[in-house]
Amino acid sequence: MISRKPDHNHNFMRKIAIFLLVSALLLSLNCAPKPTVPTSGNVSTKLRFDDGTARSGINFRHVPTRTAEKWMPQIMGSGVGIIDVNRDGAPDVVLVNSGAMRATERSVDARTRLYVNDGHGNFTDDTDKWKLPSAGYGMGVAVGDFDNDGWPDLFLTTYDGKDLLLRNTGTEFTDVTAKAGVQSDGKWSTSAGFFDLENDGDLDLFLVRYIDYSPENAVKTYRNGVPTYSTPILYQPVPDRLFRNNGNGTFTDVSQTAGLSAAARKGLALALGDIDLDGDTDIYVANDTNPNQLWLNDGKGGLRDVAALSGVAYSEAGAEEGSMGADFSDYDGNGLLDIICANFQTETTALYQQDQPLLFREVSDAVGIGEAARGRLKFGIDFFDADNDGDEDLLVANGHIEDNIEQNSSTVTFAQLNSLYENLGNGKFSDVSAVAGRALADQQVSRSLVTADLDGDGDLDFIVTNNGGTAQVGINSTEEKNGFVILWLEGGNANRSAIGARVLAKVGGRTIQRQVMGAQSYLSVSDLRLHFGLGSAFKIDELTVYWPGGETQVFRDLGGGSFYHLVQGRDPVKFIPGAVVIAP
Amino acid sequence: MNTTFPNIFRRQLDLALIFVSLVLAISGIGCRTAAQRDAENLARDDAAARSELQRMKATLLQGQNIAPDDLTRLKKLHEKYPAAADVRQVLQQALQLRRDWEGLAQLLQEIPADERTRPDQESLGKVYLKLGRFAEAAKILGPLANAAPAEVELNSLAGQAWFYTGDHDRAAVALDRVWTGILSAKLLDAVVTRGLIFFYRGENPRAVETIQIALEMDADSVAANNAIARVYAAMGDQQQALIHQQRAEQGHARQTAQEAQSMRLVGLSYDLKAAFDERRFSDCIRISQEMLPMTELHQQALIYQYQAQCYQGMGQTDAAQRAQAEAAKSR
Repeated sequence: MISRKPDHNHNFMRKIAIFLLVSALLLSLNCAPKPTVPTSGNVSTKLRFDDGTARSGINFRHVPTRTAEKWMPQIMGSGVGIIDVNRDGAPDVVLVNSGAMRATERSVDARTRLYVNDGHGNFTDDTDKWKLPSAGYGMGVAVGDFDNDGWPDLFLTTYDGKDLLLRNTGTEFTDVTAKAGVQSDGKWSTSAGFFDLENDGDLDLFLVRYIDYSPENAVKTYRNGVPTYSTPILYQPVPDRLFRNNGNGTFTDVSQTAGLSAAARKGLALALGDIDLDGDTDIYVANDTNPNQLWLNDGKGGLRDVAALSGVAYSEAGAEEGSMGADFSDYDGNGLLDIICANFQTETTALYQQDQPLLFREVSDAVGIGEAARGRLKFGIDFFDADNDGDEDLLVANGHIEDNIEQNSSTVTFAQLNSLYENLGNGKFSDVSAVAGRALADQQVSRSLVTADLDGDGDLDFIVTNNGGTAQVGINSTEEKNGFVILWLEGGNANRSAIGARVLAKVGGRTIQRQVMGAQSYLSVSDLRLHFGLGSAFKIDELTVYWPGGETQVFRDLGGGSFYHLVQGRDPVKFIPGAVVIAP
Repeated sequence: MNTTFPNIFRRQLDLALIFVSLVLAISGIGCRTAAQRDAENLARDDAAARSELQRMKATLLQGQNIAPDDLTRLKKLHEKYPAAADVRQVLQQALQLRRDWEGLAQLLQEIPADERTRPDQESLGKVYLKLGRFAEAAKILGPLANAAPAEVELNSLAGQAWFYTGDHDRAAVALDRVWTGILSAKLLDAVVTRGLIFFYRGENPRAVETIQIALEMDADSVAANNAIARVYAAMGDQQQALIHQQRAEQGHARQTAQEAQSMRLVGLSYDLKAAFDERRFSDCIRISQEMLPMTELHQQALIYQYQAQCYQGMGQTDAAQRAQAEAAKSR
């Protein structure tokens, strides 16, 4: 009888041996170095932005004059404003420059410049023609027709107390700062914006201010022994200012009575809009290492800061953040404006979603912008409908404030890529920066940004300023064209710039909300004209304009693919940007 | 089955296979590839590097940052011996002390996911939390927490990671299952997070009740006061809302003042050393005088010593002696 047992044992042993050998080989394979697979992820988008700087004619270079002393203003960058300076319906551009800290050392290269648009995105430097002055170490810019003569005016802010109110006469700018009574008290101004505080038909001026800083009181700071630009924590805040327009070309400083003087913070950015939809303009100030402020306007000139109790002053964890930029948008289409705030590296871009009137929840991580945002130091920020699909996407200008950051970090860089987040329409955003064209591949120390349809083709382009670098023009070259309507609102009883107007457009089954905002982003103001992406629709079915002051106008069936000039109390009239000057 | 091998050999071959396999498996020759080889090479060939590593290790053990040049050397060493545990450990400590969370995350990410030990995974999860990379933190800490539902810290951290990604349901489950432990360990952030989940679900009375627990742990907590102020405001209790808003603001002001003072002190310390090294003794005296009111007694001794040496350098012997006496008093 042949026993099977030995064979069985033998096979069993062999199986164990083979199993162990294979296991060992697998283990060794497992421990071998693995090839690195590039992980660009599965991101795709139809959005495309070309770098149109060279062919635009905008050859602006910001001169920060960074020196070994590492004075704080030198790292802040400067603003950009969109202004239709000659009323031809095409967005022109003002780019603020800085120069040397000491006025005596400031070169002519460091002039603030005006570029006039022919309507097709071809710009001419008309700084001299329009006699646009430069004064001081420039910071920000505001645009608005403060004297209601139909010509939009400018307010330029500075670090060193040389703020300028410049009246547009229709052919040139004249300095009316002293005459208007809006002279600086010598403190550091940052963002500014025109808006109508009491809806009395003329534009008032809100001025954001930063810290009490000078080369004389500058404190040297170090991180791990490496000298760095100083931090606002070490300096006293300077209160913001509010100038009420007297309606006769002069202003009264009402900062004290409005409660601003007693609420000093370290302010950098300003967003102006009707956040509680009660018909007047509210004020959001993004403060650096201080709680942000949301000043609710009672419509009579009274302001009350409700930021902390509404949930828009701090991070979700209750921390003060280094806030640099701000904007409003009803990004989720629930009819309530949300607030976005650009913050420091490692902090998120805080998206405060207004779930119920004045009850906000910070949702940046939940909507998909939190993680990517923390890897950048954010400044300028703007919601804009990049693909004309009716919801607003998000563009952010990034750049660090330590020019030697590589000595303190293995991963963070001084120059950084800017960020473009596509609104997916389902309450989520996708970071499409890496796949949205060459304009997003320009790695600089970016600061301000604005959006506008620069080339008159119905989609929104952008301009970014860079600290110590050239301004960049990003031309929207998204191939799939959705419909659009662009509105140039002009107040009659309301202020001529129509700042504060709220417009609801019914397109198909949805309602799109836009407001004419007197300030947003960082040190900047975007186009006052309103842009509506229509998606696949051919028209706006119904357009309701809520003018500041309470008047309402309703229009039906506005055809897409058009630009409309809409004067309060009249019917809309089509225009072609850059074609003709529309006299006031 | 026909075979060319006699049975006896076949058995011997199998035994040999088993033996070789066992040796391979036990000695882990497969896994030896990187970690052990790098460690051995470092130990055998690079005495200078070894000694530098020891020096840096000692500095870090004293809670002091290593110099920027050292950090560069350490990174190069890590590039040369990427899998040497010793080098990685020292670099990890250095990055941690410098609060270079991005760098630390990158270092931990270098370890292939399936080779990360549990402490590695926890460290990476925590670094992701520090960096606010909540989705990634939740991806790592979530499964660890689910596998260890009684571990308080782990569940608390996973709960917070889920909370920030907007997954309030999972966050609540993680926090609730270790709730008693959270209270015993006084994990204030976790308590506030739970309160905010109630708030966002519209359960305001439960939110107040929960955040009150956090305030019992620390009445001055900025996070708790800020959160409860928002809940009271939503409930229409403006009075309570304003009380807690003020407390949060006061807390922020205190934190900012402390931070500003310590930054100022660090700056002055560098200035003091520079002035002393450059024999700018009068500057040195001025800087040290500015520092004295900001420093604690034991730190003052060192500053007085600087002063004494500066006065000595300036030929002011009496003043030097007085400073020396102050230094002695402060010790």
